[in-house]
Amino acid sequence: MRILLVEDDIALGEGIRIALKPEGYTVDWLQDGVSALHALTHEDFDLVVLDLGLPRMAGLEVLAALRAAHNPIPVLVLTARDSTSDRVAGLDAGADDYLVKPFDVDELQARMRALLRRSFQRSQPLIVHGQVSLDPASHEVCYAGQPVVLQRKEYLLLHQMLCQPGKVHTRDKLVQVLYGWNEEVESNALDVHIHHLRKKLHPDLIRTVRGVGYIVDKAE
Amino acid sequence: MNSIRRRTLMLVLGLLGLTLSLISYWSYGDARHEVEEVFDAELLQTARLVAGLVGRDMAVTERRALQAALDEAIGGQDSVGQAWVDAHQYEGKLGLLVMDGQGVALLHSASSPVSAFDQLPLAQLRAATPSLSGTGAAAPTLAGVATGFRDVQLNQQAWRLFLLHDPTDDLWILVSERADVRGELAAKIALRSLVPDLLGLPLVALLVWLAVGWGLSPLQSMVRLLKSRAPDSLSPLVVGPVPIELEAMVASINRLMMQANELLARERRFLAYAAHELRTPLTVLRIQVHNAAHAPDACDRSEALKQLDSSVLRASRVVAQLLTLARLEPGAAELDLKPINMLVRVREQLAELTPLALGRHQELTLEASGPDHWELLVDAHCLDVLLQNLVSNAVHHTPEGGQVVVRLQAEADAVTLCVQDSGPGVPAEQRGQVFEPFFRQGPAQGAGLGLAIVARIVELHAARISLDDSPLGGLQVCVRWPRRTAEDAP
Repeated sequence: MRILLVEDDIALGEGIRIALKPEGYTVDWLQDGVSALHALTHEDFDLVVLDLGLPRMAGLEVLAALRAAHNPIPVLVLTARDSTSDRVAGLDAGADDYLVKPFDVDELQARMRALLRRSFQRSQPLIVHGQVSLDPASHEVCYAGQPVVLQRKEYLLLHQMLCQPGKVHTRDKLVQVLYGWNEEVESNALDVHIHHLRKKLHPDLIRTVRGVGYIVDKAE
Repeated sequence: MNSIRRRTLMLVLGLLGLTLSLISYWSYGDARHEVEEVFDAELLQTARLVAGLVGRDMAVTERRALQAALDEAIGGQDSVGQAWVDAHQYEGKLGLLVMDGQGVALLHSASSPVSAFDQLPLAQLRAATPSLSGTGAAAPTLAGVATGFRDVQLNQQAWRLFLLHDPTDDLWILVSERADVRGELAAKIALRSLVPDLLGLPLVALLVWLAVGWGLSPLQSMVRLLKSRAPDSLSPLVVGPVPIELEAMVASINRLMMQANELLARERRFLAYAAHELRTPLTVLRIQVHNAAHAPDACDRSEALKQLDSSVLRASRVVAQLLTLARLEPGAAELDLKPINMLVRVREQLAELTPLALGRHQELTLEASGPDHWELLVDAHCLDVLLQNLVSNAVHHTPEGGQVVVRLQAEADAVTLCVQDSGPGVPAEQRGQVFEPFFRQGPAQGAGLGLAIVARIVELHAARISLDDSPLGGLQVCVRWPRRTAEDAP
């Protein structure tokens, strides 16, 4: 899952990034509204964590521009404004959820999971696909009832593809999910991780679409 | 009780009473004068009448008969001692005396006050007195005695005398009249004219009372309006056409309401902002505590704790800045103005701020120019706070290895303090906003209160602040401190 964090406070952004990393997210962080809107227009993210008090362009304006462009990406708004009218304004502008500072990190993570689940139209927290099950909260992956130990990047890939079965994920998108902007991309690493996933789970779980990317077929 | 109505009533009645008294005093005097004139004329007429009746060579019997008739006529009684039926209250106070040239009484009415003649400045007359009813021996002559009116006091009564000299017969006619009749009459005339006024006074008082009440009714309706307002309402008074006397009051009240409103709005805004600004550092603390607790290894944990520590420092700084700003709020601020040598003070402060710049490998320098006259009336603590904020702003917004220059320029009427940096500067269109509390340019580290505090200090010192492009490429903030004497300090 690739998350865009938009937060102008450096310590807060850094803290959230550190807190989210072990949760199986790739977090990209921007500090102003204009670059956030630019990134959201040109790249794929699965969720936006958006602070409202941003320089250059306020969070609510980013949100309005996003929705005006029919971008359905789930948006979790972070704000210090706690009055009902502020919350209503935020939700009416297109926010999917609203978290008032100072918030608990566990709550932030739970709300993010819920938003992602809803955006992939699942009703169950647990992702089940044939013999494979993945728990986004505990990061536990089982095959045929047996726990399977996955590397972080393997987990990121599996989570991304299981959320959208039947969809072809391009190599570019998957590389972004793995690395975000800040990490050095290792050549061939994507193929290595896919190979490991096939070996640890089932060889037919992930199919290669030659020249395009990979797909997890819809479960029967 | 201090009541406008009562005061006005008292004032009006007092003035009315005074005016009435003056008028009646004047009309009494006037009536008295007129009465005197009339009575004097009568006295004169009577004297002439008697002079016509009495002849020098009149027989004694004739004289006696005349005297009896006169006594009867002016004594108020007829011959048998019966009072006249048609007697008048102002009658009967008349006396008559007719004398020849030697002061021998020829005719003497009963009511004439004999001793009146004592009062006449005539020794001759007095000498003649014992022989009034006698045949008259040789006596001194009356010739040369002044004729005309005179007032005398006899038997505790005032008398008006008139002496007439008939030169053809050498007869002296003295007509006398009790003066109290005149006073009585004049007093009655004056009183009669005063009575309606006195009786009307209570009516006037009542009417004045009602009129004042009616005149004050706009004031009362204003009081009702004020009373009917909610106690915490700060909206302006909405009244219809107001009398000009109340216009200024309504305007003042409304101005006061507006000021209170603005002040309150400012307070509320500040509180909201303050709460808002404290939430972010608290969130950071909470996340960093979480991160420290969930750190996978000792190295990450110590890194998280280090960040936690710096966040605590930052939160304390935000609180300190908020408190500084609150203390500089209108009403709370009281400047301790003392003559300060700006150059010395700024140099001391910069010495303390230098490590901040060195930490970012920046060069922090002080340049001073102008006449060697650095004394200025300022609050030293405020100056320190201002310099700390300006310099730390410059240091934070200037990249590592950059330059920050503090310039001091002395002039005849002011000292200008400029802080220049080689950072990115502030776009001209944002320069108006930077003094707003909580305004931040770019990714935030501070509370966004520094320049708001600076602006407040500048305002309190009646100094002027300006933002310009710095010769170093970044921003230049200049504060011009006017030289003031202790007298024109606010």
